[in-house]
Amino acid sequence: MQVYLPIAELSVNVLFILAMGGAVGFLSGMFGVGGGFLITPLLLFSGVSPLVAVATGANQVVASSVSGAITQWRRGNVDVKLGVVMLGGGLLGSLLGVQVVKELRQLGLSDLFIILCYVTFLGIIGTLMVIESANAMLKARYGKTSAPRKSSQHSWIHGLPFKQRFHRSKLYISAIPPVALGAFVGLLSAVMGVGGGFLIVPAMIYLLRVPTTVVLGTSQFQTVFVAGFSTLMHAWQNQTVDAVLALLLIVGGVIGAQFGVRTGQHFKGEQLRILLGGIVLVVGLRLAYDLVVTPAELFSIAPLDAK
Amino acid sequence: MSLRSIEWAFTAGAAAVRAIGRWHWIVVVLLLLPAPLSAQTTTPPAQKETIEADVSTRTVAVDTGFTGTRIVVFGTVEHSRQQRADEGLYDVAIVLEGPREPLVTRRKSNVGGIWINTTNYTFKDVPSFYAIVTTRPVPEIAPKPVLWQNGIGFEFLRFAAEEKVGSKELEEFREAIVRLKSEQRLYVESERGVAFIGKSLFRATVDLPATVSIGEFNAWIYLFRKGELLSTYKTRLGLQREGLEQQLHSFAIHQPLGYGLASVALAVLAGLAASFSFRKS
Repeated sequence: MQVYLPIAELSVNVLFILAMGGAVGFLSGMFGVGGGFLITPLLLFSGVSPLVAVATGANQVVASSVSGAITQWRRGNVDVKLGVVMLGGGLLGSLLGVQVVKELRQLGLSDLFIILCYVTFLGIIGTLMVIESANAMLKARYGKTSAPRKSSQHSWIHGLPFKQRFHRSKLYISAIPPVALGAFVGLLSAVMGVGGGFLIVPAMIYLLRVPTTVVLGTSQFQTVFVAGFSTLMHAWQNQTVDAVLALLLIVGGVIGAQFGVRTGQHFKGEQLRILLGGIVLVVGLRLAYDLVVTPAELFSIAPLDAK
Repeated sequence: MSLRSIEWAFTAGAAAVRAIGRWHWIVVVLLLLPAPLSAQTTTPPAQKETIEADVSTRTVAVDTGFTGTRIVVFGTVEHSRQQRADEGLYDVAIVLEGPREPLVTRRKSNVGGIWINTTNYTFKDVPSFYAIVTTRPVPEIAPKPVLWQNGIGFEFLRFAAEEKVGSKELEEFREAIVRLKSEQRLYVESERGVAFIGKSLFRATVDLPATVSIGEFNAWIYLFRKGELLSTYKTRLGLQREGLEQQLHSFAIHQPLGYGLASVALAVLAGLAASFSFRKS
């Protein structure tokens, strides 16, 4: 069954898009990640233009983070104050990101920029995940435990001004690092169409020292708003959100996630992380390969935008 | 009186043909046929041939289920001197052109190991769709100047760049546009796509892919005899967005803020629905 996507201006098979959403949903349910960083490359491989892929990816992230945030909210795992502070930076970052994309689009460089961002982030995150989980697996096998990381009580972060008390996270830290972190993730959300969980979760744990129980809920809480804002800005400024495509991905994703969660329960944490790290690396390498290999066709054509 | 009865017979025959359904376009042609018949009796046979044609669909609706469409172009040669369809006295060239649009063309080159768009030109008025359907390969039909004058064939499509371009580079980019558009099946060439049925009736089909641009399409039908352009006929058809597809597209373009809010709201609702429907299970 074919459907014509109004903004992507492509005729696609409904089942194919549902299956794609389902596969990413499965992985995101299994690994507990948003999946935006997989949706966008998959859309690129299917022939959707990078700008539409990013904007539509952000739209899909809204849905997955809403359901994730609600689950966490019920368990009381959301630090609203911390989330709102991060959100302040997040909205600014998103605003900046959409403008950057808009400017680069005029120069014909937005596609390259988006793909370079993906190659960089997928490469770094994938490599780190594989190394970290491989170490964890080795330790588990040989029973060795390295000295636990010393939580430095007074790192440079604690010297910053504008200190705020975050009760739920039992933190008394400057507002600057959460705002800066939020801004960076907001930028990524706009440029890459991701929720940024792969970045924000480790940063919250290791840099801000937020208790792990609160991290996921709080990050998903702020992702709802940042991804929503990015979607809105892309639709408004670039007219690149394909609602039909997003809806198909969301429906597929919701169903896939249910199976993913169940499957994920049969694996250990480090097994899941090494698997996900591998997938991330493969996707990143595939995108990098397209940049480096001599293209069969050097020319490309694109309609000139009305504005 | 006898002519009148022949006409009656034709009308009755046409009604019968109409019943067959998929050949309904013949009706139009048959109704046109009495003209050459009467011509044979009242005027000398040396009268100049002219062409008349039409398309099977004047308005094509493009909705969410649009997967492309097939257009039948058919017509007749009046005062045809051909005795049989396979005589090959006439050449017919059909040009179907989609709405003209500005197009950005980019060329990649290797910068520090990475392939980057480095050169780009904007061409105004590039046909978004161009089909050339003929009875014979285009160069065999007529001398180059005639083809060039009428823009018949890929070779004679001319695009004007907004920027200053060297003629060699312009040609390279022109070829790239034709090549890329051909790969997308938006530029189509069919060398023997026009078939004569009988001594004056011809038909051809043109496939429009799903990615075709929306708007007004022009069809030019040229009649040649031994390289000489005898007659030209122009008709048009329109592609219109319809249904949900149309509404969404115009919503997204004309009210981008409202569309953005609706897209986000839809995603939030879907997320809520998901978390509530799977909560109990």
